[in-house]
Formats: sequence, C-alpha cells, structure tokens
Amino acid sequence: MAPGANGHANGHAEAAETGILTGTYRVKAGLAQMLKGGVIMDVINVEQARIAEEAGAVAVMALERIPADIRKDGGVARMSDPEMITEIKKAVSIPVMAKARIGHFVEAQILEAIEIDYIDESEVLTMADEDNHINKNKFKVPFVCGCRNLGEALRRVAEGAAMLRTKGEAGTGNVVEAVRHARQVQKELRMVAAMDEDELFVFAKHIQAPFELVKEVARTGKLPVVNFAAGGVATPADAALMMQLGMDGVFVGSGIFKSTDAVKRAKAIVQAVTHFNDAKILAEVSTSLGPAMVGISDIKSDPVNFRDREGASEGQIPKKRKLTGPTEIQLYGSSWEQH
Amino acid sequence: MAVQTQPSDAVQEHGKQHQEQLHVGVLALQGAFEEHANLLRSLGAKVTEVRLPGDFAGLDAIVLPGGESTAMALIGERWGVFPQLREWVATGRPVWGTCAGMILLSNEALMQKEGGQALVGGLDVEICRNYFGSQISSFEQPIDTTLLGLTKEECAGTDVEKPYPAVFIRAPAILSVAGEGVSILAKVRALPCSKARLALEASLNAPAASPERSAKRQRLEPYLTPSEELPEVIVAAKKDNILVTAFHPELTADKRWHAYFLKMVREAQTKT
Repeated sequence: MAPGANGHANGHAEAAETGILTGTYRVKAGLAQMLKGGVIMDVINVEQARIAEEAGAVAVMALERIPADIRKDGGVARMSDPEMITEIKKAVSIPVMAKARIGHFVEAQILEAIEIDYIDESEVLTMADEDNHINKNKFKVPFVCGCRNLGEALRRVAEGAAMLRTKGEAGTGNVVEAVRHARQVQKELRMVAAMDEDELFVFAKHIQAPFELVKEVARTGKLPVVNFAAGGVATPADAALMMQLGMDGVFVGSGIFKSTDAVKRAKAIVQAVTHFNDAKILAEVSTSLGPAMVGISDIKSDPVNFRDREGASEGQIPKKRKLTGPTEIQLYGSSWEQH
Repeated sequence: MAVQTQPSDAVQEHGKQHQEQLHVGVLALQGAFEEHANLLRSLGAKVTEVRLPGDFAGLDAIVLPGGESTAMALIGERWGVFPQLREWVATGRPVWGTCAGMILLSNEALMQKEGGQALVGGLDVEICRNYFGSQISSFEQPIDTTLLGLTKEECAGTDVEKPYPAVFIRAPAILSVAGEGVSILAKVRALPCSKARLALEASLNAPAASPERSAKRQRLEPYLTPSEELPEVIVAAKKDNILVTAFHPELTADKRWHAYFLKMVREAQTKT
C-alpha cells in the first residue's frame, strides 16, 4: 500500500464489520468505464477547467504546460504544482486527473495524497526512470497509461493501469499517430481472438506481454480495461474517427485551448464523441469553429518524440538514421539525438 | 469485469416462459451504457441505445446509466433528448437511474457544478452528488437485497440470499425523502466527504423561510454532527415506476437488480 493511502475511507465504519473495500481493481477500472463516450480535456487553470466542464467534459487533466508548449519550450517537464491542481479540483464537480513522470512513484504518491481522481503516467513528461514504470498495483488511486500496441497495453495493465489511451503524438494537432496506435491495438486484438490456443504462448513472447493477460484477451476479444484515444485529436471529425476505430472515448490536449474559439470547439468535440456515427450531426457541429491549432504535419522529422518513450526499451532500439523525407520511418527511440 | 453474454441462449430460455420480449432503451449519451445493454440482453430484453429523440419509439422502459451527470445533461439538452425524458418520467413510464442516472432523476441535487445542471427530475428526494468523496474513497460493499423480494429463478440463477456486491464510484447518496410513496430499498452508513460537508453547510445557510429552514436543519443535522453511529444514507429507492441506485449494478455479473427492474416493467404493463 502506498503511503498516504491509509485513512481515505475514514467516512466509513471499520472494514471488518461492514465488508467495505476501497481501491479495488473493480473500483479503479470502474471509474474509467464511467468516463466512456466522453471527452477528457487538458486544462492549465481554473478558468479553462470551468470552460471544459461547461462544454460537457467528463473529466479534466490539470497540468502546468500543455503538450504543445512542452514540445516548443523543451526543458524537464514534471508533475504540476499541487496547489494549482487543488484549485482546479475545488472549482469543478467532474473528476480531475493529473500527470506524473514515467517511473516517478513519488510524484504519484503526492498526487494520491491530494486525492486526485486519476493519474496519467505520461510520456509527455520527461521520463524519471528509463527502465521501470510505476508499480501501479501499489496505489489506491487509478492510473491511465499510453500504448502504441497490444503488447505495450498489456505490460501497463500488468503494472496495474486501470485505463489505457493511445499515445499518439501529443501537442502536434496531427491525429496520424493516434490512428496508427488505435489501428495497431484493434488489429492485434482481432488477431489474438482468431488464434489457436496453442499459438498464444509464442504470441505473448513476441508482443512481450504477460501470458495470462494474452489468454484473457483471446477469450474476451477485448482489452481488460477501457482504451481512450489521445495524442493529436484537434477536430470533431478527428474525435469521431477515433471512436469509429473502436476507442472508448477521447482525450483532447492542446487541440482545444490552442484553437481560436475554445468554447465552441470543446462543445463540438463533446457532441462528436456521443454522435460519432451520425455524419449529419458531425457536419453540423464541425461548422464555423474557426481555425484549429496550426499543428505539425511532418511528425517524423520533428525533433521531439513522446510516443516512443517506454521503460526498458533501450536494448531493442536500432541506431537512429538521418531521415531524408517525411515518408521514411524511424522505428524506436526515446529521443531524436543522432548517434 | 468484461461481461460475457449469450443473448441467443437467454432469449431461448426466456421464450420458455411465454412472455413477450421487453424493449428497453439505454441512454447512450455517455457512460457505462454498453454494460447495461449486455446485462439486459442476457436477461432476454431487446435493447436500443438512445441518443436522439427518435430513438424512443416502441420502448417499454429506459435506463439512465452511470457516467458524468453534468456531461449527460449538457449533451442531452442540445438535441432534445432531455425534454423527451422529462415527458417519459412525467407520464409515469418505467425508468431506472444508476449513479449519474439517479442524480438526473432526483428533483433536488446538492454539490452541483457552478451554475447548476439540468436534471430530468421525477423523484422527490434530496440528493448529494459525490457524497463519499473523490475516487480514492470509491468502494465496494455487500448490501442486503431481501427487500427486493426476488427468487433465484427470477435472477437467472443468482443466489439472492447472499448480499449483493455493490460498487460505489464517486457515488451520490440520498439524504432525505420529501414526497409520499418512496420505498427505500437499501442504505449504507457513511459520513459526507469534506466537500459534501461544505455543500450541506452552505445549503443550510442559503436564504429560505424560517419554517423551511428549520425543517432542513433537522433533516441535514445528522450528517453534520458527529455521533457514535455513522449517519445512514439511502442508496437504492423506488417510487411507482422510478427505480434509482447510487451504486453500479452494470459493473457486476450479478443480475439481480436488472432482473428486479425488468420485473418492475412487467408489473407496470399488467397494471395498465
């Protein structure tokens, strides 16, 4: 149990008498199920949090710098000031999430102590441990983690993540990576569901995921937890695209507050996620929103790469090559420094 | 957690009882509507996801799922689903709200977002959103369901003698019942979280006529004064054709609450 996890249920009588359990996996994953079909918006202050709530967001992600600015400004990106998070928590009635660095379990302990509703162990912040992610099973507060494929999704679930999201490429306003990651996960889910039982052992080895979880996915045909889209969603059409690709909901980071009319765009994206299959409604809500965030079209040659940040991926990383054009693919790597 | 259902088998089993299939709408603006739909289908019901006013056609009952009540209210007002829901409830047709759905079906809710939120209304109770606190205080607790008066056969083989494993997620609670005819189906004991406490205090200090205020003080006092025993709050209630639960029957494989609701819908049909 994480420090600070004691006494959170102090509104209740003794657990031994009443059978009350807090911080169970069902309760942690359950909140993510309640967020389905909804939009979670990045906000940097109380004013933006209120705009998000009024637009119909199901939760807000409280952070000091949105991904687009982290990309631009560089420097070490860390957990936000607890005071700023607490202010936002006071101002809204919907759940409040906050980000901790990959592997930085003390940032997570602090966020748990201020009773944040969900922690995003996020690749957008600078990695604190290049080998290990946070052991999320030790916490009562639930975690959401990014994934590019089924293997990464199940590695995070094994560590205790109660919710997943695509990594996409945050702060670009370009949905291409989120689409790649969503399609990859859905494709691998279909593959594993169609596999012979005998083939699951080697498949688990290939995707570097725990066998028991692979077996469960093969049985149910779906991920054990909710999976949202994230990393590049900028328009109602982007959001609906991700929903039609089988995602359970959408995170919008820089897309809303880097656009010209944040209020209108936020509302439109919320409507688009509910009515993702209704092209007429999508057309209506997409109308006259003003310019979207400018964004980055050539992600592959951009010097910042959030999506390939994962613990212990160094051994498998090929030496990076100098890219000659936007179509050339750089596979792995936690940064774009040339070797 | 992943609920596996076998709709075709369930329909066959259901068919043996020679009952007409019930058609249930699940409000699908946001939240755990899929989980409700799976459980209802496994008990033989036909399910339609309700997103627009046109989706109400031919429905026998409606379920408002767990999710974020503020988001549902904002999405629901835009295309006219909420006015239609209000009419549905006002005409006495069967409806069940879980968690966020329970908030929407109440006439008065404390701890709303700034500026308030739209409600469907129908149940004359005083409800407190997020009574138990933030996610870290979300909990599971076994609750007694003998008041439902269900048999094992009616619940697809669930052992109804055992307590029901109720899942409360940032859950609301009913503090008091104002109108007549509300039957209380389940209670738990807990203190309000600090934010809920502040909201209760603020509501006591709000301007009101003095007899009204003293009545309110009497109602809310037990939640604010520490005593040996924790105060009781209502977490499941029923009035006529309105059922509300503060917990999430859609998150468990135990089907007794869904069976109870479908039984309630059938009884409503035979009455008319």
